[in-house]
Amino acid sequence: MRRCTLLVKVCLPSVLLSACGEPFDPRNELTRYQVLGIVADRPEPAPEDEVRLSVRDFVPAGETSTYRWAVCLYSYGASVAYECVDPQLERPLPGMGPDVVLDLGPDGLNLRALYERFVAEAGAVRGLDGEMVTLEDGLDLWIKLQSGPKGDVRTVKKLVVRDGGTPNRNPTVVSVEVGRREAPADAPLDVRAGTIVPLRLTLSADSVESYTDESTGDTRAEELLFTWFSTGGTFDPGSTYGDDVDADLDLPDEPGDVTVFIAVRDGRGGLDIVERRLRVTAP
Amino acid sequence: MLRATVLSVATAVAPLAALAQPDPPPADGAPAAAPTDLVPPELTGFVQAEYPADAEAAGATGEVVLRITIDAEGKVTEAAIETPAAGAFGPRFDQAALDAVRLFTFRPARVQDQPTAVQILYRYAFTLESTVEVKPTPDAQGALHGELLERGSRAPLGGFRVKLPALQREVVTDEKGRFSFDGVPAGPVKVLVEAPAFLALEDEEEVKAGEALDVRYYLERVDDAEEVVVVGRRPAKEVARRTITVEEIRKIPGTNGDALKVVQNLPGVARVPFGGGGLLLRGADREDSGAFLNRHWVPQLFHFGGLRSTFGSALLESIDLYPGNFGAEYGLLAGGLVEARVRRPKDDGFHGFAEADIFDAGFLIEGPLTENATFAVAARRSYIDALLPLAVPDDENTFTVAPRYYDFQAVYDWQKRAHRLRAIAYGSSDALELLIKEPGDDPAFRGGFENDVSFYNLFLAWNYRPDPNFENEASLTFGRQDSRTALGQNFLLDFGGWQLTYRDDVDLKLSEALRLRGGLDGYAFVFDAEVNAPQPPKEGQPQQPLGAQETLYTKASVAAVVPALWSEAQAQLGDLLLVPGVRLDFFSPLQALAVDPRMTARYTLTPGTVVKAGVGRYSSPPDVDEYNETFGNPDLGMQHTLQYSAGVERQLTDAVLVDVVGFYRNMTDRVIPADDPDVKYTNDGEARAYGAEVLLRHDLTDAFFGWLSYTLMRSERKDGPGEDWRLADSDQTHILTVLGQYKFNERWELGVRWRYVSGNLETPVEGAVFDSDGDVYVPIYGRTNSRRKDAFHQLDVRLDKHWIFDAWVLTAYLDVQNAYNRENPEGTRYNYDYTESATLAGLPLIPSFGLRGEF
Repeated sequence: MRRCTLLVKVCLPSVLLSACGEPFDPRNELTRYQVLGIVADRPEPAPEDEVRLSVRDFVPAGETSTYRWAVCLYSYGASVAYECVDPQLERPLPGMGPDVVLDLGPDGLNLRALYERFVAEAGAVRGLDGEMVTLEDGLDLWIKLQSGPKGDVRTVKKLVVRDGGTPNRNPTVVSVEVGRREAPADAPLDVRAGTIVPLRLTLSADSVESYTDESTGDTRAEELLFTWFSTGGTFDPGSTYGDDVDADLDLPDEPGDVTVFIAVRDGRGGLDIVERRLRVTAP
Repeated sequence: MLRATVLSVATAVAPLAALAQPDPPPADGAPAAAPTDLVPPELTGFVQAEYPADAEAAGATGEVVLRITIDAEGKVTEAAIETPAAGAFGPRFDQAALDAVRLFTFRPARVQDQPTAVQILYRYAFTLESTVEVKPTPDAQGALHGELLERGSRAPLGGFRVKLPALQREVVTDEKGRFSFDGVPAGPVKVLVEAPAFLALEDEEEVKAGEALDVRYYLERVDDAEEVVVVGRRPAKEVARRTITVEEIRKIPGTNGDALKVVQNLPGVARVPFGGGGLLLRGADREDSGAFLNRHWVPQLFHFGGLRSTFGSALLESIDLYPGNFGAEYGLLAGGLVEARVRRPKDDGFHGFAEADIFDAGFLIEGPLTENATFAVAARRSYIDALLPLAVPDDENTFTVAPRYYDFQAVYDWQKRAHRLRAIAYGSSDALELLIKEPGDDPAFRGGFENDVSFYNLFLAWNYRPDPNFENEASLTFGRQDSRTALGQNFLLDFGGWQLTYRDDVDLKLSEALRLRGGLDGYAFVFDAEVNAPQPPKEGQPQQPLGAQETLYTKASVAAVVPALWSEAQAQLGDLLLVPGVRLDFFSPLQALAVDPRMTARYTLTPGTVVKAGVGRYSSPPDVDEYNETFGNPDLGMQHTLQYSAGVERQLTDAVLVDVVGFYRNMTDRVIPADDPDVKYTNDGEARAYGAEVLLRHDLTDAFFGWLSYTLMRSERKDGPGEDWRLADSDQTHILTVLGQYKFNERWELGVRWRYVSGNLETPVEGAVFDSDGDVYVPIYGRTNSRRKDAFHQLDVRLDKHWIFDAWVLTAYLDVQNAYNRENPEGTRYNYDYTESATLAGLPLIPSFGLRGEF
């Protein structure tokens, strides 16, 4: 007789929460320290791979951030605030900067040996659906970072370590057009204060990959998610998805420097974050 | 020369009996709605009142209206003056009438062929009739035929005197309001109708020789003296059953006449945030309680989670609320239940209404089909989808299917002698689709959002009552349910299938002291389901962003048959009524058999004072996702709840009742999320709730009804062995509702409701973690339900204005919710990374205007 009330419990509160009351400062306007994402050069590494991890963050002028990295071998995820099941399963990563390297191979974490030892002792590694997880299925590792001026901003990223198969790759932003002009990666682009400029992304042809949904067995194409940030002015919309690779930036009325960041996620751990500088000139 | 006569007319027989209420609640409830299948009491032993000699000598006449209580055996147990006779001889007429009616005997009133106690109004007229014979000339005569109806409702007015003063003739209308004068001299003739509680009618008709003139008169009611009849009460067997009549439902402010929302004003029922739907009874979780229509489970209670009930209130006879300790006829619920009964459509002509308010518009048509059959058809549809394009420009409208809902009901009711057949087709559909163009702080909320929910049911029942001591009712509801909720690629909940609920209930009266009831019931279903979603949050678990959660997928067909048997005895031992019962449920998905003994007792301490107590075991299955192989744990067992309650009720006056009940419920084997996600759920939880309920209630009488309802409650949960008790989501320490409705006259009514409820509980957020893959911040929560928001209080006001025409009544109402615009805190909202927060306020002042035309 009982029915799952997911609609009420999941959807309706979110709609209500987002629809009521005075808005908070939007996330897209960068005014304080904020992590934009952790980029892994291999979102789905093999058990013997080295993975370069880079945090892309916004650090306000005059402030510095500290970085403390760790990897957790088994966590139940969001429901337990990404705590490791056992503290012994959490290992610090070498390096105190925004970039670190995680060596999964025998000279580093030696993940394959760890996995085999765990299976020998516990019988199996099981996923959240209760099914046994093999390295061929993909083993979740949780990268944990504490950063920020006070070192209290917590960020996690999941790495799916997979033996064999076609690993996911990061999407790639090829170019950013600002008002129909390509914004160079290494120099500011002049724009006029008080105007609205359209930004448009061009992605590499292989940014949108096809994959097999493990749950349903369906073949799907990735749906990219774009998040638009700026240190001045306001993006509208602040995030887009799919084929919607455009957003308008309402520039400040006063001249100055504005940096925009655009994060592109593929929904499977793949991420690219590009940065462009704009010099806002007097009208 | 004048001849003294006493004209006695049971005014209740026709117009009042239709409003009599033989099936009301026990002393703890208000009058139930008038059943239309009432067979009025029939006067079998008439006693002529003695005409006061001095009044006769003085040529005085008089008229007395009496309120007579007739028990189930047809005896007059009480008689009182309702409207005394006027004039100097009034007290003499009153006493003479009283002396006479106390000796009357009746064939008792019946409902579904069962004798029942009622009250009726009875008019006793003392007249002096002329003995002068008027000898009309045959070849200059005509006839005057007609019918007398109540203005507005068109209800036949039986037992009323129609006079031709000039001819000194009068007749009494029959039960259909018809009257006839033959041999009326041709020419103009004055017609006079006078009756208590109605405006006098005087008209002149032109009677033609050799012709019969048909006329129809509408009498306008001037007060409600005869409209509402407080009646005998159905023997109560529960500790707490609270009944609301349809008349009350329509008038309670802040509910828009919605039956299930009205229930939320009774003791033991917690407030639902944002004015939403759902039943939170005595600290139980929402899933622990259920709603039934004619004893059959209703698949979906509300449109869009709480906007409106899916079954129109106009076809309901009444609603019973059992906040706990209900009898053995219901099972698989750990909390309480609401039972709505569909009334028999009217058979005194065709009636109906059309109505519209800010949400929807609907209609009802009902009337007789044949001598034994009646029908009703009703439907309602929202028009938000039609209005939205007018208010929102196309480029800002993200709805691909604007929100809309509809529901319908069709009733067929046939009854002859011992048999009654009923067929009710009813259904409901909600739909909305929108495109989320810009993801918010949880980017998983993107793409198309789709929500389509519908059900279509057919209810069939055969009731057989060959004699008052035996009754059998076999019934079933067969129907289809479909529900689809989808959000882009990130969320899917899609199921559809067929469902059958069935029951056969037997009622056997062995003697005046012993009655046995029992039967079988159950349900069966075949469903196809496809789900791609995270595990749903359970009681005490705060919401996590969708984008940060692992989704689970399953696609399956499920089928089950869940049978049950129940039995109950009602033993009247002097002033003590004992009701032991037992119920057996076999929940086949878990292969679990539950045996639940239950017992209630009522002891009449003094007339009007009853002490009562109940204890029972209530077994309930886990939610369907909790025992699903993918989402849950198929090895779970049933949950078991012991419910205790005890109290006292006192009928202070005919209309005023006070009822105090204390309760305690304890659930063991409660299903809770497991620490190990491989297991997902265990039966290691526990729940308890305890408190007291007070109801001070004034029944719907001439001009007023209202009640004060207060609940003091504590509801707690234990999330595993060794864990401490914590407050439950549904814990609301104080719940106070004061409401009243006053009828100034036939045209104006005013209702107010004020509520005070302890603030909502919430689990504080103590930080957040940024999930780089989901691009979302995941809150870190503190101790569950460790913070309480400020109290909720709100005033709702409703004003009704009626315009009464001959054949119909137009009503306009203004229902103002949150009249003093209190910003009630319903929760807390946060910025994207949970470093800022603000109070999430409830609904502001909302005026709602509606129109209803009724004929």
